[in-house]
Amino acid sequence: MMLTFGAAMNLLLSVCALLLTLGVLRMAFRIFRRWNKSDDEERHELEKGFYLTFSVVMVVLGIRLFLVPLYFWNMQSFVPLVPGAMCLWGVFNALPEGAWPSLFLKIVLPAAYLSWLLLARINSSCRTNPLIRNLMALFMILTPFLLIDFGTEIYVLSQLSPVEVSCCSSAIDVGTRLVPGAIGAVSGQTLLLLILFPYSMLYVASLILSTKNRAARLNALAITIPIGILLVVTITETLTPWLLRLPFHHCPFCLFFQHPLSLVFTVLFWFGLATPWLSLATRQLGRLNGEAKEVEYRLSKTLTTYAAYAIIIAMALMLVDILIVFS
Amino acid sequence: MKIATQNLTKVYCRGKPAEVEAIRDATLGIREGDFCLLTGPSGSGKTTLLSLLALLSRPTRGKIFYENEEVSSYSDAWQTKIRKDKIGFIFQQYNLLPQFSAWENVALPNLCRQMSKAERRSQAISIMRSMGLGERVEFKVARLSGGEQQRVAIARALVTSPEFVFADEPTASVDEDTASAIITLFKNLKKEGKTLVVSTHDSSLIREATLHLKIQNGTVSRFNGS
Amino acid sequence: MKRLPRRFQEHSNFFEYAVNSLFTYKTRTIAIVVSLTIAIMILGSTIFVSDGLLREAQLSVETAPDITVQNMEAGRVVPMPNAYAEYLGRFLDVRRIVPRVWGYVYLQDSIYTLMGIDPSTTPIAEELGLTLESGRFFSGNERNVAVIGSQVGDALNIKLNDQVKITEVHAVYSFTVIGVFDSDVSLFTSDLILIDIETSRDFLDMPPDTVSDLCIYLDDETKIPSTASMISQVYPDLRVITRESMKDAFASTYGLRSGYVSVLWYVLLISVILVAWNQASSASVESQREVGILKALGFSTSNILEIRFLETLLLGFISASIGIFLAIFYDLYLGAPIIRNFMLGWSAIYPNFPVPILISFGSLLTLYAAAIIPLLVGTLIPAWKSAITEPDVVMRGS
Repeated sequence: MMLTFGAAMNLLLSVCALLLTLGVLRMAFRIFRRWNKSDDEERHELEKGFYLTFSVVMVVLGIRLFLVPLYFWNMQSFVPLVPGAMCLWGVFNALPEGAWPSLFLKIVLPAAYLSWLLLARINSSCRTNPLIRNLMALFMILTPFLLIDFGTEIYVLSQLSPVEVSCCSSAIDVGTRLVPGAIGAVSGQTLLLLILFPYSMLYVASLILSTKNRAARLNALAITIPIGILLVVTITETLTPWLLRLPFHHCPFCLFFQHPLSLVFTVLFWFGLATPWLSLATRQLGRLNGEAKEVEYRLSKTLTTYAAYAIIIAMALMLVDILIVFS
Repeated sequence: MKIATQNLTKVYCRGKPAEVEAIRDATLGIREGDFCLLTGPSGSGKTTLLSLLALLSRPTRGKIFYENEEVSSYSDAWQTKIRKDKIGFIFQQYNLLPQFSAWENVALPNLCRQMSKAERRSQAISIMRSMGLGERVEFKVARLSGGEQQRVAIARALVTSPEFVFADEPTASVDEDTASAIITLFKNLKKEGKTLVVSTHDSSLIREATLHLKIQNGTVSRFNGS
Repeated sequence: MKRLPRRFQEHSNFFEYAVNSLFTYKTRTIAIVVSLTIAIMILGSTIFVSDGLLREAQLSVETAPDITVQNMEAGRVVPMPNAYAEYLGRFLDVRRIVPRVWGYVYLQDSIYTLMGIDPSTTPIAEELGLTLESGRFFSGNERNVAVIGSQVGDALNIKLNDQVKITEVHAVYSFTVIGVFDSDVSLFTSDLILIDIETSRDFLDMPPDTVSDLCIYLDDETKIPSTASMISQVYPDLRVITRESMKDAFASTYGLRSGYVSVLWYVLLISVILVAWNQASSASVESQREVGILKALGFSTSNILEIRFLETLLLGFISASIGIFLAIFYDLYLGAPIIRNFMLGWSAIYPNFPVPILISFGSLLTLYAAAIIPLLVGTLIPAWKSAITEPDVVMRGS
């Protein structure tokens, strides 16, 4: 086990989140079980318990969201400690294969955490706490994922050892590229950008319209997947070689840590693409009706507006970054 | 009806040897602008009924309606919102916070509103002046007399211009002059159309009441003068 | 003063209330702030020193040779024949090879590095990246002269043109100090006494035509890994050390040491959290009554929780800020005693040199998180218990 300061703090905060999660699970279950069957007085007591559960879950999810950048920062700090590693890819190469899913979890699970926080916000805005049971149920569903999140962190930090590894170039830079060198007079890399930008603007338009009609909402949802794939391909094939000024290097981890601005616009893009799914998950998990549905509609509208801004700002930053490098 | 109850019951220490039914099956209605008086011997349940009507405690059984909405089933957060927006409460023991000055105590209810410090202070000073406390604005609570403390407590209850004003024995712990000033104040509030619910033994208040409820051993009945 | 947007005004009011609350309950505030400040100070000073040493080491390594080659026998470094310089010079991209003869000398309770090089084959300043604060380097024919690190001069109380005497078993060697290294290269030269290679060989009793190691400088830095690899394959008995591997070794050493300190620090943190829990839980009747009054006046349970959280955030932030400030003072002005010995190691005695510190944004953020989040966790339940106080508690009290 290679324990640096960052890793030690990561562990500390992770353990705090774990203890809180386990400590409040029983109360969450009790509230879920008894809420609809209780009389006014018992319900009032359950409501008090809900305040504790709610506060604890907010802190736990807040910690887990804070740990996402800290985790990546820590893994990056291990690069000098793993011989042969030049970036995060190399560090993960020093781990058993079972560690790779933790990367995926760190990107996907925050969306689940944000769903819970959104539902909690809707519940607070309603008069009769209509979503308390749903919140407790969702927390109990999230608990195994929280435990897996914690478990993978411990696993990764305990399994990391200073073995000699090959780095990203040997995996990412070899083989056929995803785009052809050129199509007509336009290079494949430029073409990706020329597709990404208008497609993203189309997505922004769908987002704005989605607040007004259902068809646009479904359209926005549908577009997120091809745009997500296109974004990943563009980062790997175009932005990494361009921004790093290394024509044959395509590792996004190298890009993110040598070019922090790229991380910013990627995160903004992630938020912009995740929002319609967040709204969908909130509606489905909350089984909203009546007052909660109205509150959700207003909240969703606000979030969608922010998502649209996030995409626009992300594209602007991308453009600025490219211009800075090429100026 | 502005405030109504249906079979309202409050039991303390339910299921224990010390179980007490403080209020039993109270069904009553208070109209807009009513000056409702609650009278009864000590331990009859006046304070309990007052705290139930002001949403400071929850009934064991029964319902409470505000403007035809059943508020007793509302969440703690929404009951608090009603208290914040519509209710002013005057405690018998003043319940001022000693770490704050007089104006800060008066401005406390506005702390959980979207009001800046300057706005809160201005509003607090304005109402304090109307109650003859203009010279006591910056005084800490410990430096105020009993009568002044009660007037600060009343100012605090009125600073948000509430629709409903509840008072628990407002003249019990003050001198005659202060009591007289309080009664005058209540008359003015009644003229302004506010709905007042006051628990008291003070006979001069009884004269002003438009609705007089007598409480005996937890049972509420309308007092018809006999 | 510009007014806050309305939707933030309520939270600003609660913040104001939280600040007031900290002053009202002074004992609790002081207990938590003092204990957490000490904890953060200890952790922060260790991290700043660790990061500073790491950066200093990595900067110093920039002046190190591209590749250093040593002869190994039975796992120990032994003198290597100078002839290796010729063999290794035949590798592609090798620009220059600098032989060195070095060892340690014991002077006035401290250990110093004695190093001999041949300036006729090596333009010292350019190749080795060493610059002088005063004086000059020696030329190829000069004997009994030395260039010393600035800390060596301070420790032995010798200046330019003074004599430094080093006693060996069979002789006393005397050198005239003709140059002092710049403090910019202090970590590399702080304990260095640089003399001519022949005298060094004689002093260290090494056979003729042998050296301690060979420093290899390449035309193209990108060829370092491949050249090092080729040398290892052709001469498997040689230890080949690249500049990158030296950087990684430093990162590993200082990184792991600070990690161990962090884990030991958990014990201190637990006691701080217990103090915080105890203080928060022993909420007086007065405090409970206060919450009851606020509830009666229209504050919701969420509002009270928010105020309690803001109090905790403030306590954590203040403690972390004071702790960080004290950590910087402890490191910069007091020289980080105890911590510097742990980080530098006790196996060798170094001359005194100011401990370098590095305060990075990531370290600061992590320190604040380490202060605030555990405190939040420790005071969550007491805050909740306070917040669920029923408003009719003030009625029952009357």
